[in-house]
Amino acid sequence: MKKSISLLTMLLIGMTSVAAGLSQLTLSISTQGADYYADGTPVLVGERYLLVYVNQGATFAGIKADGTLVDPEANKIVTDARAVEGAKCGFKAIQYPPEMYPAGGSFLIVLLDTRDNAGAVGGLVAQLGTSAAAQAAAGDSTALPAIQVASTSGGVPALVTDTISARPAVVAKPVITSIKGQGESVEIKVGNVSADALYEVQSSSDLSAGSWIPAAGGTRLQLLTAGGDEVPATLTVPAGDKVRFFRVVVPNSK
Amino acid sequence: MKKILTVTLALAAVGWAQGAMAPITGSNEVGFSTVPATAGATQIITVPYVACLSENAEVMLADLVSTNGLVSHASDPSNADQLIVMVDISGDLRYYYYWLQSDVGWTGVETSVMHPDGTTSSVTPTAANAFAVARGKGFWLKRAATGGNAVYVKGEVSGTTPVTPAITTGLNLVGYGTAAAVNINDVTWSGANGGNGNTKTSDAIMVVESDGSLSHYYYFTAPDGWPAAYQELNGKWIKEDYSVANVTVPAGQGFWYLRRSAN
Repeated sequence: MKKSISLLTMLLIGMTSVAAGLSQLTLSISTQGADYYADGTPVLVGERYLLVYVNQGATFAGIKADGTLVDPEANKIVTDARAVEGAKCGFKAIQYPPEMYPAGGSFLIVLLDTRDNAGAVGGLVAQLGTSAAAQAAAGDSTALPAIQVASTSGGVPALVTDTISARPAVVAKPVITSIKGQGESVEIKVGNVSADALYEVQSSSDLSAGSWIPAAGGTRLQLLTAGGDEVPATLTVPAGDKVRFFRVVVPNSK
Repeated sequence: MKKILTVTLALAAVGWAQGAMAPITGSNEVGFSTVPATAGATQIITVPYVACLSENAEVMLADLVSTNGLVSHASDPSNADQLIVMVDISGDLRYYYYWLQSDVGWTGVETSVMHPDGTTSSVTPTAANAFAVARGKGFWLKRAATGGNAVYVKGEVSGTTPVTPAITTGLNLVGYGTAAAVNINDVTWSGANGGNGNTKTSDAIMVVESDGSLSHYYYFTAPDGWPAAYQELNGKWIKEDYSVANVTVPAGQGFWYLRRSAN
């Protein structure tokens, strides 16, 4: 016996009704892990991930050391999430109106390396890594989108911070304001620094050779975690060193 | 000996009386329905039952979906089965996310709401054991990558017919609120829009298949003057190739209804 149902009253049928298309879309993000920093260290708990929207026809232009977008016209930071145990991005769900991140554009997850000189997360962005892009859904989509970055891609970790962040547009030249030897270490202070730039002390034993390498203990220097208006650094020098020179650079110069 | 005979006769009389008594039927019926739900894919679930011993009260989400065969996790929602429910809150569409947490049950996850002005707010789902879901309401089950291929919905069979709002233009997540499978062409869809013969202009039903794919069916109204073969399809749900759709939606499984016209 045929059952009768009126669409106007819809006996026996309940629903969640929405206007043409959906007024809100949803998206969830996570990574399987383990995700890694460029030096092979698994991502620390609390590290930051970004969900970025890339306009249709545009590309992801990168992140500056202060965490802002290189191209805020073509890219948008949608939200951020934090790393959890297992060196992975913790699950996060969002919802948004379709016109805010329209179909045609794409989403990607960006892993940031915000470890400071002491190795704690929460500093400026030194490096970053990105996932593959996922197409943004249309307003009339019936799918339930989720970006779940796999643990590997082609046998290698899927998410690694293999890209150096961009430096601020304008950065004054830093200057070493003091140097003091302390046995097998050297303490220096760096002045004329900007709050949104990372600094690196480099050392060389021969000024004429022009060969400078990062000095141990002198990387990822930043005002953010140092406080004040100078950045201190305690540098380890090779045992038996007779002479050594130091300079300060902004390593993420582009 | 006489005493024994009397007792024997009494027992025989009782047995005869019992054979004539009608069975007593319980005051309610309960059941469960199996819905195909492929591991790693998404299925639409609906509510075919009411809460047990509740006088037709709406069932709580935590009680509706059996956790038998589902995938739980101690701490990671992305590695557990999830329920996602669209909720109307004062006219705004909001998404409630729940995940199956080991030794806890369905646990709500806060959803971040992005606003066009750049601000963000958050939505905290009602606890699953306090979230009453109306019979026939549709929502998603998102399966973890591991696990089985079916989900069970359970509750008490209702003897009443719920009255629900009209389906509006656009996408509607619906379900048939009874404990019986439904062939969509066994239902008279009064008010359905059959378009002008082109499936792009007619109402559509979208059903999630057992493999997680989405199948589309279209309501057909035969235009005047079309050949007899098309007249035979009048008022039926058809596939894109204009063959009659023979699709039975299991009890407990929902589907999308796309309404093209407000008429």
